[in-house]
Amino acid sequence: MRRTARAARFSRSSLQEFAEICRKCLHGIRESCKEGGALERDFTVATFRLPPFAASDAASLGQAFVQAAESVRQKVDLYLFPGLMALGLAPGLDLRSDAASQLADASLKDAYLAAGSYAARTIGAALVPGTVYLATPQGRVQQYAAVFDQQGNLVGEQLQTHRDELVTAVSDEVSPIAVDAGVKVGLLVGRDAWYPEVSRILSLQGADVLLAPLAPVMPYSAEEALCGLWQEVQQNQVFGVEAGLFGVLAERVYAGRAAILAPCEMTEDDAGFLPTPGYYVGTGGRSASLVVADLAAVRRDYPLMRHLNPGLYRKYLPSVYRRPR
Amino acid sequence: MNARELTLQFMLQMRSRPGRIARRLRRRGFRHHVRTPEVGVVRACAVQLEWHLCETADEFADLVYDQVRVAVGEGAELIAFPEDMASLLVGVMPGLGPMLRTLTVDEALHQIGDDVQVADLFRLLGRATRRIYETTFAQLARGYGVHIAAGSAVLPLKDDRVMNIGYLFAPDGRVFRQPKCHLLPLEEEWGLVPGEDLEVFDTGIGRVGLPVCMDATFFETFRILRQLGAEIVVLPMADPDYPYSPWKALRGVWPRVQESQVYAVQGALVGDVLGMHLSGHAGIYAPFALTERGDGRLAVSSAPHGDEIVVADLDVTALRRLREEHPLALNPTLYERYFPRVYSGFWRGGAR
Repeated sequence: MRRTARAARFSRSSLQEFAEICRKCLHGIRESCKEGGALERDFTVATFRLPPFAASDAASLGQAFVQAAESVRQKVDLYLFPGLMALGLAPGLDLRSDAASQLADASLKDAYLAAGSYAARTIGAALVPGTVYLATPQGRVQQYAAVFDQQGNLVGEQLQTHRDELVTAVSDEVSPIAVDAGVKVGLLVGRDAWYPEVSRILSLQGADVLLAPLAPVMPYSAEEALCGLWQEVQQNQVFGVEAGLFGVLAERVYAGRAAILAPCEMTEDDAGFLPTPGYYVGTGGRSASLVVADLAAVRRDYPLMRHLNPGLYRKYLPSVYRRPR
Repeated sequence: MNARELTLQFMLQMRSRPGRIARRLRRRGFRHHVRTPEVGVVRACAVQLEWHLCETADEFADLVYDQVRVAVGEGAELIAFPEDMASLLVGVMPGLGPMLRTLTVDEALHQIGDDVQVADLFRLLGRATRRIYETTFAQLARGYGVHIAAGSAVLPLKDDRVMNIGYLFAPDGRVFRQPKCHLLPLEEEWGLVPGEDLEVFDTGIGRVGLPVCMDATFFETFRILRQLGAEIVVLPMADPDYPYSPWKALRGVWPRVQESQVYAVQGALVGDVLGMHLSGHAGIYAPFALTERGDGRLAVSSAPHGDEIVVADLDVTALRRLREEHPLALNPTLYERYFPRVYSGFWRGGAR
């Protein structure tokens, strides 16, 4: 009852004001966490494989996040929800054509932020409420994700940095996000999980946990999944958390799965999955502890990053990307 | 150089005479397999080879000849051998062969001298190894009219540094070389140094990159090669991770092919090598869309041990079409903003 009453206090008119407060808060946090250490304590994460929430407003979306989070029994430091969960707020959306004009209503982002903040502070844990598509004034589409701390403060946000068939406006910025003292995460939005440059930039800046809130469209490919976040976890020796949307949304069929990933050396059967091998194909959430000592042991025994070759990279990167092909 | 070393070098020179190797291979003959190549398609063959010690140049030449003959019989135009092919030749050093049959390489080196390192052995053997290795593969490439990626050889350079160098021998006599740029921890212990250049070579079968084994663990290698124009990447492998793990094997060439839209041909050295156990699959890989089952694999050996040869056709025309229809959506502005900083920071020990 208490939560329902609190959720009901959201109103459309207050959302923009709330979003502005979030942005100011974010600016301060970002300034304070530009540099710093990597994972310094054990950290428990939960991830979800879910169909889109049937939410009518920010309040009910926030409630849906809370209910899903409460289904995870372990005490969790951070919850990651699948991509596009907030799009359920835009009924009648058809992403097959002219998506930008349908997404032009700015209240979608405000509702996404309000729901995420509400869920985080209600649960008392950091939270990524999936992603949301946004339209630019130029009529192009972006994909956006936000991170909230356990008080519901917006502590980081990330736009997709590599184009795909729908996302045509991308960001040229990517930074680790401090969700708590001693814990920095990196957000891989949409197709960014398949461009290893993003993970490398994030991990070399100290993000030891990569988060990928995904919504892959049908048909599902196990091979393609293994070429995404799973690879980034292996080649950067970090943890990874992947959440997946499945079901029908905005006239598209999604086939996401969920996983908590770690370097092969610290998992059962070398498979790279926590707590049990394989992608999660049930509905709901699963959780696992990311043990900092285990990660340190892997890095000590197999010091992969020591064998990066900066002299080689300096010679070719980034100039080779501008080379005509 | 003292008298003992002079004697040793003389013996090694005698054992590695190119003329003798060439004559032996010519005597065995180069019967061409008659196959009309398809335009824009390269038939590739990857060799999986169980390591064994060769104590003479003849033994090495015969072993390589047998593999090439089988591959040519399959119509191969590109034949890819494993990493560290020249390690089979450490047995040409007088007295070392019998020792290595019962001792590890470290134990054997200790018997030679207290402060002798593996890199010293490669330096000592370098000239003889190079002559046998280069003569054998060059003769076979020319004789059969095929491109042979001869795996790699650990060799001393003129400045005395020791590198693991990938080789491609063309039928017209050209030889392409690519030093390994990312070393195994073990190679670092051995005293090898990494290369700091990557090249793409224009060959009769297309634009080819020649990184070596561990180079595929780092996405940067394939990305650079792709941006330099590579269509086919030949990757010789000798993986000391034992027992074989199919999951760990997924961290190499297979994802790199998907990230960079290239073909890859991987020869694999397996078996017991100088105190190590090697395992892995020879394989030929392609972007998902260019494989029948959509799994990125054109041909993979049946087991991670034992001798085997796998063959597949690389449709370079289809690859070019795929790249046009599904171009990579790279973001150079993002990379320009961060790469100089993150790699420099790492170099200073900033990240970990």
